[in-house]
Amino acid sequence: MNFLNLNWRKVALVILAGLLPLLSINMEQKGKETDWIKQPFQLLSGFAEDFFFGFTHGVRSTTAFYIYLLNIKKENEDLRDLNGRLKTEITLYRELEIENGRLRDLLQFKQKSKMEMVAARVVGRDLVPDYNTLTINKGSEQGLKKGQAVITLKGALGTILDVDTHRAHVMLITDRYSVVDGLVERTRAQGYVEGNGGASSSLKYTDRTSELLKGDRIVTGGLDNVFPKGFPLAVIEKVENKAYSVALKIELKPIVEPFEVEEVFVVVNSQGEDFTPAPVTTAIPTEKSETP
Amino acid sequence: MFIGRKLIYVFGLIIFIAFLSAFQTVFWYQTLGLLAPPLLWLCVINYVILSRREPQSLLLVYILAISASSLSSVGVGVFLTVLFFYYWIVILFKDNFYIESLSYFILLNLGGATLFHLLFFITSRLTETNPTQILFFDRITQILLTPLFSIPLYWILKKWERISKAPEIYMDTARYEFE
Repeated sequence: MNFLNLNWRKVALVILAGLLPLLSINMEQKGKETDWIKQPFQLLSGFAEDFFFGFTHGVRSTTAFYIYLLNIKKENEDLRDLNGRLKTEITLYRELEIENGRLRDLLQFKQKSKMEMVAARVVGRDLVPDYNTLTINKGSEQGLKKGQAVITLKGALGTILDVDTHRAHVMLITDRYSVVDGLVERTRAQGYVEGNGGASSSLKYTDRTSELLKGDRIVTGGLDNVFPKGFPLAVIEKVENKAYSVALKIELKPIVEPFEVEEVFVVVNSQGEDFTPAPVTTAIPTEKSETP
Repeated sequence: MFIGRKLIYVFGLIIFIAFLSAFQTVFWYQTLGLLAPPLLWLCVINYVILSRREPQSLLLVYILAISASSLSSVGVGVFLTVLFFYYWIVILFKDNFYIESLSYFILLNLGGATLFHLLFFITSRLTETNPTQILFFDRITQILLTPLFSIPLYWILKKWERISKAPEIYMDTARYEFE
């Protein structure tokens, strides 16, 4: 073995490697806070630690956020579903409330009136627009007959045109074949309310000397024995007094908007009901009345 | 056997037209209110005129018309009179100009709805004591909506013809299959 042939570099490295622990022990024994040899590594590992901490935190946050989002999405869907159901329920309740109000009014009207009536629902309108008729869900089984009056709380709607077992067609007062005995409420001028086939009707055969105004209310005359007397029919829209005509030309607007009606009453027997308001009388002072 | 299939076909059409009429008078009215509905029943009538042999199909048109008119206060006499003239005018049109396609059916329904209103108006003016009014917006709405709604009806009616195995005139091949 040639001693001089030693690889001095390796020897130096081994010695340095041997000395380093000793130096380290020596440093530790001196009570320094941080081992000098660790310091650069600690710096590096610190960065690495920070990086991975940040990364892990990021991943965990992202994962948590993603899971949270998934949960939120599901929760959102559930809430949307719930919201939709609640909205539907609210709409339903509102509808029921409105319907309840309407039915209460109908019931009160029926209880107060002495007329014999059958309540019915409007189910449809005519197949052909040339006829102003409505279909109701009551028929001959419920005592309905052709020619009976159909009314609502606001006013007269029409008459029964034809009857099946469980349904009937109502000819509206605007139908071109409809004729109802009418009376101007204010002046008591008489005439016949005839339908025009569209959305309006006319008051015919009214004496041209009658002083009628736009807005005057037309009520049923009661002569036809179909409608109760004094029930609202229409309002005057236009009055024309033509020189060559013996009667006034009066255009009317029905009080009841026929295609907005949902519930109606069919008057089976009007029993002489009169809706004409009682005349206003002024009290005549008598001798016994006290004077201040 | 063939007559049995035909009867099933006719019975199906009667049910279908009753269903369409009810849709038009009840469902449409309850949901869309005053907007005039399309003449759905007329699409069925048009399909029958196109796909069945004349003049026998006139009887079927009458049956279907009576079925539809049960939901109206229109007099059966007036209704059938209108449809009688309507039928022959459509036949005349078909004999002179015919293309097998959905577009033709849509065109026929557009023209058919116009023709129906025109004939009804004239018939009413000539025969009724209180004739009908012009009702411009209602009629225009119906004329415009009818061809639009005829598209799904064409498909349904064609399907029913195939299901019931009662084709009389193959609309997409030779006109008269059994002649």
